[in-house]
Amino acid sequence: MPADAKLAKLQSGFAAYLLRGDPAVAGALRPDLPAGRLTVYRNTVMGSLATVLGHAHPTLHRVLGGQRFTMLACRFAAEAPPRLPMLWSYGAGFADWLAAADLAASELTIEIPPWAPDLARLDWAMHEALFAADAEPLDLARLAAIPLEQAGSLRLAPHPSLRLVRSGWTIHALWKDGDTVPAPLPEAVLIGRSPDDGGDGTVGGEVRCIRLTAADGALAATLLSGATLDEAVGSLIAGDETAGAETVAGADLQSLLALLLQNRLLAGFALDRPPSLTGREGNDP
Amino acid sequence: MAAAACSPLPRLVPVATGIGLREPHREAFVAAGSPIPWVEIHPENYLVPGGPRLAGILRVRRDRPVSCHGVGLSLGSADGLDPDHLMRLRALYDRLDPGLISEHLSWSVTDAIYLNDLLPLPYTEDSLVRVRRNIDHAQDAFGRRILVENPAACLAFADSTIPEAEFLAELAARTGCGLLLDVNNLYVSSINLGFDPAAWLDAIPADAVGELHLAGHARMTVGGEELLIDDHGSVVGDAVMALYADVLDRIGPRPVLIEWDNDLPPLDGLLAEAGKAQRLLDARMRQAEMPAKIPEVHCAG
Repeated sequence: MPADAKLAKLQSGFAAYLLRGDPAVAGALRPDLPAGRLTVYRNTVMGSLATVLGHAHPTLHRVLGGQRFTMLACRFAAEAPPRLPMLWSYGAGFADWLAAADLAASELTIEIPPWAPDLARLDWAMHEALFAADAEPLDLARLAAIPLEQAGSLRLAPHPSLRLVRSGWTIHALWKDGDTVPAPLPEAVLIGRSPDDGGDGTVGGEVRCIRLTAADGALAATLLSGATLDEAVGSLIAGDETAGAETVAGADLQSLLALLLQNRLLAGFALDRPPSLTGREGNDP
Repeated sequence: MAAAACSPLPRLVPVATGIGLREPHREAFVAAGSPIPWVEIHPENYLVPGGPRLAGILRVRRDRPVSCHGVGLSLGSADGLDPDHLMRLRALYDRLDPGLISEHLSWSVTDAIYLNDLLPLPYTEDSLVRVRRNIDHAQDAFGRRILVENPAACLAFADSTIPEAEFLAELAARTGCGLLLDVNNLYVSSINLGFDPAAWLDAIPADAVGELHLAGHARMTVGGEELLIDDHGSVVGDAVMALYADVLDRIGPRPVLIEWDNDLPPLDGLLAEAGKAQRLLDARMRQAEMPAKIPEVHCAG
């Protein structure tokens, strides 16, 4: 066996033990040392991954309780271990895994509440927002300079940290207070890092978590996917195809724009208009 | 190797005690006027697109030299190093201009899976060739010299034929890398695996050692036997302090780092630990009548 292939086989076997408890690698150990020592490494790997997932999903961890969360996190880690040696980026798939997990046939008899995947999405959106790229907030003076008749052709450029989580449960209340019993009512949560000058020239920033009505959430989804203001208003009238007419009824474009601007969650805009010699305007980030 | 970018910032890590700077302490550290001459970070925590964490460490870097102690490069991987990860690290190093860069004699990546631990290698001729190639690759990609740290282990492989210290000495000789001597790891491994740390130190080329690490460890009963676990969760134990004094006698003063990762005390607690290590370092420097200077061996470039 080539040299690297032999080492690769040993390392694959070690990984199989760490993730799934496959004991075959014990045969490669120094015989005078108890093979039970392997558990030290398995406990470190699984325990620290559960801790990492808990840090990225603090609300879900708090609401489910440490023991229940850790059991689910270890199961997820065994099925979907990290691919990158940057643990802050680990856990993007946890919410979807919770939504799809079929634990009925496993030894893990843990009930996953129906709102848990969306709460995990909210936690993850806040986590991602904290590490998202920096960008200057939209210059309001430039926005104000747009002639009123052209305002409808504005397309908004969200701050890189901006996330929208739409849920069938009242997860925002659960985020605010872990003792709340979530209700099966649709809503949306807007998440983003509000840029903040740290005062000494460094970039700070606080992650905001703002509840929207389901209707405003549908409107926000339209705007953040690149629709012009006119197109977004059109969706209000016609009924958004993806969201359904009943969910956009009652949406308030003006309030939503004010909220995005007040929280400095926009990074720029583009202005659609017929081609001209001066080209496209705006301050794209 | 290409030269590191010039920087007006304080770059070289002095022969003094630094601390491993963890996120919960970062703001308190700056607010306290950066009360320690240098700090060490895990670079993987700062490989982020943006935000306050990255801005915060760049702020720290304005006042203090920084050492980058990687935990994810996986120098022992049979598959070689991940070129994307090397480039990510290189970009951060170009930005931070660290005074020291270090990695571990261990592996953590196999089959494109990252196992978040510093896993043991069999010390064989084949492993030596693979790790040497990986170190060459890393040093070429970074354009900087790296230090390689001895791991803390509680098991070893039947195939191992090369004593760990000789393995490290060979790596230093063949790649030009330096060594990071983790005194706590040496103590922990010597107890768990039953070898003599003095003989281990005899085989280490003193000139190659560019940094020392100190940390606390835990005692844990596993399968009915007591093992030492390198958990970085307490003060530096007396036995490790005694071994540290012996190391200073053997190889001379070096930059020393206090690592504390779990059950973090308030920043003052960490500074007190650094003070203890510094007093021993001061005593050895006085004995050697050695002025506080920055030996060339500590330059990462």
